[in-house]
Amino acid sequence: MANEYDFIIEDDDHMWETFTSQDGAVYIGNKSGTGVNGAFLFKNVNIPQGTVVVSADIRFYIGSQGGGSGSLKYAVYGIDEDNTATFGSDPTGRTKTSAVDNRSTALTPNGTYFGIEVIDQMNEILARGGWVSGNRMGFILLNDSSPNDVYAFNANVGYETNSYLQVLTEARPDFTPSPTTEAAPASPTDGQDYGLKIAPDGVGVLSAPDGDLQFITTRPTLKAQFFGLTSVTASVLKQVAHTLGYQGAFLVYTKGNTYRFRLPRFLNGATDPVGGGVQGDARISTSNLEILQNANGEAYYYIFIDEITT
Amino acid sequence: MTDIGFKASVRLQNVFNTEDVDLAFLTKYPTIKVLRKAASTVVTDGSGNGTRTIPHNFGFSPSYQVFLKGTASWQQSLSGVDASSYSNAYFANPPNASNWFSNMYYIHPYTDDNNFYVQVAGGPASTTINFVYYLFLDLAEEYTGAVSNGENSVGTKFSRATKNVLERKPYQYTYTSEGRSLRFNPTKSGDLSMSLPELFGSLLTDPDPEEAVYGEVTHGLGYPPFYLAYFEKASSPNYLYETNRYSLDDFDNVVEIIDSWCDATRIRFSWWRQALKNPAPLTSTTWDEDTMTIKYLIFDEDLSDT
Repeated sequence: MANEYDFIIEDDDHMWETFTSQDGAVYIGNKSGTGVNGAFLFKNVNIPQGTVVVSADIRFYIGSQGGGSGSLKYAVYGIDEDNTATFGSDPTGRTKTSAVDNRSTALTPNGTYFGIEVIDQMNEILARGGWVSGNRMGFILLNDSSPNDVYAFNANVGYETNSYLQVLTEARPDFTPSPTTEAAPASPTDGQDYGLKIAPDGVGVLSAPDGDLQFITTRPTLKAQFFGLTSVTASVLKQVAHTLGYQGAFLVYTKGNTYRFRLPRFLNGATDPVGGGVQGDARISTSNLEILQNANGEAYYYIFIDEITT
Repeated sequence: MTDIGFKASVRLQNVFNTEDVDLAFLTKYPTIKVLRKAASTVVTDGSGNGTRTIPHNFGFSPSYQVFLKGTASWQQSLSGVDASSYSNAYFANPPNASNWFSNMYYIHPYTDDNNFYVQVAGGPASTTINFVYYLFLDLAEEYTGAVSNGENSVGTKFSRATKNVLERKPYQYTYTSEGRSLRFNPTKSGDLSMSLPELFGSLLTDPDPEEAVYGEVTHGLGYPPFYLAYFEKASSPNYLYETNRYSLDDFDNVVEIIDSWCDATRIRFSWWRQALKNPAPLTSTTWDEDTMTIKYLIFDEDLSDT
């Protein structure tokens, strides 16, 4: 039988952030040009010494985040001690596990979680001869050149939701039944969930509205049958043949200097600061995508099999 | 060759006998994948210049879509079309002409291997321009190299035919859950028609007459949706063009604008034409009676939710 544990941050002195150098919160990333680090401490980790966990994630609750762009980059270590002390002072200098992971994470919106895998770090601590079930276990997050003002923040005070550690100590047994033959079920009634759904990290697939899900099969996606690069000669209509037999939706991007621009692009005499003045238009018939632009270059196109009709 | 891969049909469709075009998803054809959607601004200086640079660090130029956000109100000199103003309206594909926003030839979105940019050159001075942008995990250039902003080995991935799913090149995936699939609502999508009568100028009455018509879709979503719209004119059948665009006469005057915008209630399409009579030489733009069909796809994307 699989053993599953959740360990929750409970007290202020089980979180640390280096931005203001105090307990009660965690920063990780780059806050307005300053690298910030954090640490979590979980107490009463009731897992016996020598246990090998098969899954361990810190579920980091994003209470707020920076306004910068790009992915959060950090390294995660365990605190390599038998029963690491509470965070009365900066713990990020404590002895670290040899197990370390360098992560790059695209942050999801505030109010969601992102996962930090710590399997190897946890197993290294559990393997320590001095580890005893019920001890305290800590983890350190060090910023690793996150872009300017890209950070995640969680505080223990003032938030209803805390970060927590989620651990699985044994693989789940396979209860897949042998194949059987059944009559086809009746058509689903309105309001019942059906199809394939994929949720982003930290979002409940059954509770989230469809708009918050990464993928659903209850709506069609745009499906690109033809796509690629084509050369374009100035003022010469470029035809890209397709075999749809109808007019599909399309997207086209052209190149100007070293940049890519969405077509149609019309300047009407205005200054083009970077694109060398490239302008162009595109249209589609039942047999060709046609691109016309005022300069030699190349265009990247998508022709979708999705027909634009009622 | 027997069909291979993963297929998903929508409700009540038989996945085995439904045509590919009607399926929700199949690994045979890549989907557009939203990696990032956000609202941002460009603030111009005293000369009307400014740039917003948004790092993506993919190592390749990604495809993108931009909607400007502002207040839509009728801009042409022709009166009696619509005297109302519509706040929190979204307009796609600058630089371009518009019947409802001040003409946006000075706004330039573009990408390169590391950044996405929205640049304003010679626009209104000391002004904040609001926009919503999408970056897709899909190429806007030919590229086969590694992705330089880190790898994500978590989630669900479908590779394209002949591509190794373990290579971790997200642009080679038919779909990866690193991105959100861009999916449209076939019930809300559709078409509408508009017509304009013949138009010509006269030195005796009006040498430069204008005419215009608009139509709109009341989408009922309660939010401004991401949409794609294309039009076909009876005068040039068989060709679909994407809104928004304009036409010039022989003297480079704008004489036709076909554009669109959306808000939480509607997607509005409009068609404006002008017949310009030029005194020397005595030529003029004239327009025949014509009918336009707008075809639009409405997606499950709320432009105001950023």
